[in-house]
Amino acid sequence: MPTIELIVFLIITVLTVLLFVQAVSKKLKFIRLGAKENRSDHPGKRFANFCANVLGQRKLLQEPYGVIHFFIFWGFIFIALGEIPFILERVFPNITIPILGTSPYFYLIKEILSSLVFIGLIVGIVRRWIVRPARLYLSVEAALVVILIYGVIITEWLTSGARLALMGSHHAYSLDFIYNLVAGFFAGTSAESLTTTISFLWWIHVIILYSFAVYIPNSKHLHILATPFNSYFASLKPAGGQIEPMNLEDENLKEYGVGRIENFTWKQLLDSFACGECGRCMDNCPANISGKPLNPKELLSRTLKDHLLEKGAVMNKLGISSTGEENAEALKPYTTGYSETAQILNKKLIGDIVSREEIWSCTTCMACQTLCPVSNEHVNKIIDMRRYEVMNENNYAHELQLAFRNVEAKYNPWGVSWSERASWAKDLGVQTMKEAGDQEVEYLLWVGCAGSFDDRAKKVSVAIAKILKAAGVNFAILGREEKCCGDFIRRAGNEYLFGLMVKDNINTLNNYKVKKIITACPHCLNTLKNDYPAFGGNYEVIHHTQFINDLIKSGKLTLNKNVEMPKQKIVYHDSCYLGRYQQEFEAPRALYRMVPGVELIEMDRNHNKSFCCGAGGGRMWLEEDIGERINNMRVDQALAKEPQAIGANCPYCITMLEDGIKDKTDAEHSVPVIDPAELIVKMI
Amino acid sequence: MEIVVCIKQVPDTTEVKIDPVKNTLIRDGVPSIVNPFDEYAVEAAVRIKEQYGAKITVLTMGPPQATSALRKCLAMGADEAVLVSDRAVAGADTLATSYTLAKAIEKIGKPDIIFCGKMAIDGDTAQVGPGIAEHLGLPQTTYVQKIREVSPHRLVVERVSDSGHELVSIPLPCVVTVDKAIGEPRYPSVKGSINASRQEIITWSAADIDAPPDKTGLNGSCTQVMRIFTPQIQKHNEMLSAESDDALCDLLLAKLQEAKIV
Repeated sequence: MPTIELIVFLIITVLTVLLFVQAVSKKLKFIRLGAKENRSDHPGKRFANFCANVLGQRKLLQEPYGVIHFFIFWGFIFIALGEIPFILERVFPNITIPILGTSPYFYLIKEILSSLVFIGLIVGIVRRWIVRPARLYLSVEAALVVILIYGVIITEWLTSGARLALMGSHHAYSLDFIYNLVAGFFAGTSAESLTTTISFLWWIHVIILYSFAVYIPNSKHLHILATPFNSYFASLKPAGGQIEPMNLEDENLKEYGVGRIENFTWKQLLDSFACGECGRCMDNCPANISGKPLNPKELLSRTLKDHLLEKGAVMNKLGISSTGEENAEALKPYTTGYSETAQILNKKLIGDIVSREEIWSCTTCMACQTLCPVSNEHVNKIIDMRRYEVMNENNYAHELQLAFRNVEAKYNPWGVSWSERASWAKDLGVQTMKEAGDQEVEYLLWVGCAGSFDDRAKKVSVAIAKILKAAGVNFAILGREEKCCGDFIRRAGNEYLFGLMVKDNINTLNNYKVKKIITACPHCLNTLKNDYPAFGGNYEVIHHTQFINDLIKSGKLTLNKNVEMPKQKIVYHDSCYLGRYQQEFEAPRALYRMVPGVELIEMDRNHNKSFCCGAGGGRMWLEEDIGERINNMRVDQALAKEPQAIGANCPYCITMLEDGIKDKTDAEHSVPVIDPAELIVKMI
Repeated sequence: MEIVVCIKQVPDTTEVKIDPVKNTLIRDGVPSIVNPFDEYAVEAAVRIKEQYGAKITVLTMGPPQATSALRKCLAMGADEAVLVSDRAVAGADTLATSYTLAKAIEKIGKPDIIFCGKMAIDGDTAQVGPGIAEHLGLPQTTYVQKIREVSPHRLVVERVSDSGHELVSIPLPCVVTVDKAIGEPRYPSVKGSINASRQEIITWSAADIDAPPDKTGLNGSCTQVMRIFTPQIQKHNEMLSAESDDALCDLLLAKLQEAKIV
């Protein structure tokens, strides 16, 4: 390379590196404004997650279009590797780079992947600009990046093809079908004009490549850099156990929840940068689909990120790490008046940036998080903001307050007298732990508030108790000593009341030395299993559908298959808290299939893409007055399959679906909602 | 302005059932709550505090567990809480209770208003509030439904009596017992509850408040509960039928005469 070219090359290389580093470190500074959180434990597990989700593109491959991303991802890696010999061989003509500069197989793979990227991008363009699914945004950013990628790929092909034509033959390129094709076009061109062409194309390529490198950290395509880290640092806890406990005894803790962007943890802030705006979350979010203001993709990739970029820039400029009470005095000169700085600093995260309706629209169904290919954690952010509203601001819906009051006074959100908790079991001969006394009890049947007080859910409790008795299971209930598990309280942001319930329940459970718990409520199940360990309650918790399957498999429960049962099509609804949260999809389905005459069918949205009934995360106790009712939408989805019944496994779901059916159908076309235990009990 | 609110921790009687065999209250596992009328008294005090500014001290006499009731009042907006807890004060009737509370109030200071609920739902006597006023030699007004005016030396309140509503002007300091019409007690904010759970409760013994043993507890009581029982309600009904309305009337009249009702 001529000296003058070399100098220019070095200058623009250094410049590119500087601009890249500057852009990345600027973003890092924003992320570092976040609160501390340890996400470096268990490096082995984290690396395995990284391999599966980044290298293996696990979640992307669950959708047909995701295959294109798989090839684009690996194509990028090989294209990037190919840049090493491409650049160095020209700058330092005498060096040989092992494998990358010598192996024909490397070039073969690179070219197969490059071609797939080339085709994949066309599919991407068609999808975005012609098919236009709602979840994908049209943007200049997306268009620009496509142009840059094509620029990189095409100029590389042309340059290398021309080089091959000039060299005549090159062992490393022998299997590279594209270089050979391009070389064919250049056949017969003079060496001199080839040399000029190569030089020209090489420079064009380098300029496009460097522009791309600088553009990435400055655009939404930062996701390319942020996602590998985001996946590595993803929570290792089960989906239902990721809510962080608060130390309310800490007198220094004066602000509860998150009411300022910098009170999110660094990982929560990193999420925003990792978002690739694929829209899987919004495509499966019941709040978004039913016309409520919450759009999980918008929340992370736009709302919170834009606010962080704006406020973070001011904070970094002023050199402050918090805009809380402790800095109020120091910030006074900047927060008074109408300057731009004051306007930015005075924006309230909740109210000005994120609306209250957004925060309260979430049903905590976990669809967004389960399907997110970049391991973003949406639900906790919402719960953190709810905590701020409930605990700090005392600003939340009246009907939710009523549910809290009921739990405080009666230990259940229904507000029925706590002394009636065991009434459903009156004539069944079910013993309480207290009555069992010194007798060894193997299983505790945790009935839950719904199963104890809601007339519909009580029928499921009765069916389960009968099945357990028929199978000779050694079990008891807590009766009047059971209190609300706290699931909805915690997810509605009231960590204080949740703590009171947990403390009492754990005392009771540990006092009776409870080890194994069976429950019919997936919400209780998740809380007992995943929330309680942090408070000293460690139990093996199992859903009744799982337990009944075990009883049948082990021969403890034999079913009478000759019993007369109606022929019926049952369409199955996966509850969020058993399905997505516990990843248990099969146990309830297996039970329905055992029932003579039942044909089990699926809704379009099932398994991990199941659609919430609308009751999770405290929504059971809140009015639903924006958009369409989520339960009615689910009922529509179910009735579209023309079933004779809907199958469900969660008391909340059963209530919501039955309400929806009442809303949607006349008495004649009404279909029942059936828990599998209600069918199995008829076969004993 | 200084306000003292006297409260009592009581079993949640809406949840209390009677053991049909032993004929006693089943208290097992029954949650303890702040006497509902006392919550109204706290609410009345907090509303004055919000409007005029005041320091509110909640006061109770009871076992150590009664701190949970005091904390609830702190969460509602009271500033300080005092528990008088001592074996010597246990078993008190309304006379000894009001004496003990009066002694504690003297130690707290010279409050302008002493609020009480009109009665406790477990004893239903409605005597402690008036008792405190007598022991302290203060004017009192009971069953108050509305506070109309608050001035540094005087309250104007509406109270309900058997003959109707009365408008009462009462000089401060005084004792006021309130009815439910005074205003729905607020649900404490979570922040208030957390702060209350961290706050220290002042605990005094009988000696701390200079209450001599012969005037407190069982010794200072002039009444004693000998037995608690559920009154037997005799229900007997008989269906009368006859061929005509006249005959039915005669039959009914005969029955009434037989029962010496007419």
